[in-house]
Amino acid sequence: MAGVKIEQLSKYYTIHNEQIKALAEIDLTIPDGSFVTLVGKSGCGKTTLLRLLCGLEQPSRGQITFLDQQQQVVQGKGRVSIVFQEPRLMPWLTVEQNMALPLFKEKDRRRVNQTVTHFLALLGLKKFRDAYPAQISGGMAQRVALGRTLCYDPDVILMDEPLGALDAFTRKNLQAELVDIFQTQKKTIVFVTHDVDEAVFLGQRVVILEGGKILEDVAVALSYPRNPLQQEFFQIREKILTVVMGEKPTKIGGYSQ
Amino acid sequence: MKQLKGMVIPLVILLFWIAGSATEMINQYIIPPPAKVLQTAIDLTASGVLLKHITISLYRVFAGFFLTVLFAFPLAVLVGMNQKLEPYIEPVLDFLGHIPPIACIPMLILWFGIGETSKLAVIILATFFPVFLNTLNGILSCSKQLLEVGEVFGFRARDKFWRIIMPAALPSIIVGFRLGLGYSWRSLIGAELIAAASGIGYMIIDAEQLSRPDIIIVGILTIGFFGYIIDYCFFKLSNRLLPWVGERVNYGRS
Ligand SMILES: Nc1ncnc2c1ncn2[C@@H]1O[C@H](COP(=O)(O)OP(=O)(O)OP(=O)(O)O)[C@@H](O)[C@H]1O
Ligand SMILES: [Mg+2]
Repeated sequence: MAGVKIEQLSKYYTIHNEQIKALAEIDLTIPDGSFVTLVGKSGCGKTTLLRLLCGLEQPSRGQITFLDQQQQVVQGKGRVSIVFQEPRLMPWLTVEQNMALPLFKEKDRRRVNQTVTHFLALLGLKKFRDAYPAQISGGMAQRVALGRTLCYDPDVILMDEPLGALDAFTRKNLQAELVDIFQTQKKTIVFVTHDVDEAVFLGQRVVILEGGKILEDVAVALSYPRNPLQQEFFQIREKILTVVMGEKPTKIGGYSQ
Repeated sequence: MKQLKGMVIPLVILLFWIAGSATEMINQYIIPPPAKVLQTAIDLTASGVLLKHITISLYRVFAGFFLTVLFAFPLAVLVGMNQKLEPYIEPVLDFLGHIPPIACIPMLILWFGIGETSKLAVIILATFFPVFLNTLNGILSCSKQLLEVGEVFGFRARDKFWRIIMPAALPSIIVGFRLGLGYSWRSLIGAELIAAASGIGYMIIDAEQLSRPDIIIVGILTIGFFGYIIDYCFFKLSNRLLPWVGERVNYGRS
């Protein structure tokens, strides 16, 4: 188990001698076992933040520390894993083998098999365990990617718009599954999305990013499973939309939930 | 059905050949009639001459092929994994790749004589480029995105190599091997035509000296036949090694 403490985190890129501040002095504490959603316009630095958190990129300034349940600093990098926006499955491995990939060090193959079978069932992939990635649909591939990360059993799960490419039905199902997994497995989850409804449906907190800075950190004090038609849900959604758009949202927009 | 369609053109040619020979429109001293060629094929097979030559040629090809793979493959891996080396190697290979191995035969004969060494050298020259370049390409084109997946799951360099880079490069490696085998077969025959005392190419050039076009035709057909068989076996093998590639799994999708 691990929480994350982000202090004065900055990431600069240079494109044609021009410096881009993808992240600028971010401070954020994500307690152990909490579910945080990140929203913000395209290019505001969401992916950059996740890539820094899982060590795929190094900070330009500031630091990231991992904390255990007693708020003590964990040495080095905690067990952090990410579900990318694309499934990124190994084309040469079957669904089952892809899910078992992170367990490559485990000598006890029976235990690996048990873990994989458990998550195959949970994600409704049992029938496809021997299929290759090219033989399954996009939504199924994304579920396999999620299953792979769950098999790894990290302390912190990062998700970069994992449901972005899915249809509304599959999306709703997976959202419910995610809430379920969060409640039963007690993971720390950081979830990036474009969709404000999704953010409010999933997160205990919704962090709004804008131009590499945190614009606002909105608590969602609703119990799971949430109902998007509830008055409070609606109010939180309105509030976030107002912050993101920088003005009152029009009433015309419908729900994507 | 597909196999049957493939037989149509050879059958038409055979019919013209039979008809042309029967009506003596074709000079039988230039192109002997099919019956004569068939008889020669049977004789050569029965006497063991054909078998002897083909065995020697095949032996040379496989020996040369494996010898080449033994150093071309590790070299490609070395260059592929240390990309600092690439700028040194690439221009040299681009240049050498344009020189047909056959053009080097006179030099090889000066160095090694007409014995086995010069044949092996020709095969090595012909096999090296397809094996090396395809292996290198396979390694270099490994998706960075997949490597990041390994990174996230705590793969060390060795795990990344064996679990991501090698399987990702495998289709390209196999293409290289298949091409290499085809190239070495062709260039070996060339080498045997120029300088040899045995092998299927020698059988052909010897027949020219004896004015035996029937033997030449048997030789040519044998070369084609064995080239075809080798390639077919390799194709079957690659299907087994690459179950995730091909029409069966609709690879174009992801
Ligand atoms: N490797 C890179 N090199 C240069 N600039 C980069 C790089 N990666 C990201 N950036 C820049 O950093 C900024 C933030 O990018 P990031 O990918 O984090 O956005 P995002 O919030 O994930 O957007 P989206 O919602 O579209 O995925 C962008 O302006 C982008 O151009
Ligand atoms: Mg992004």
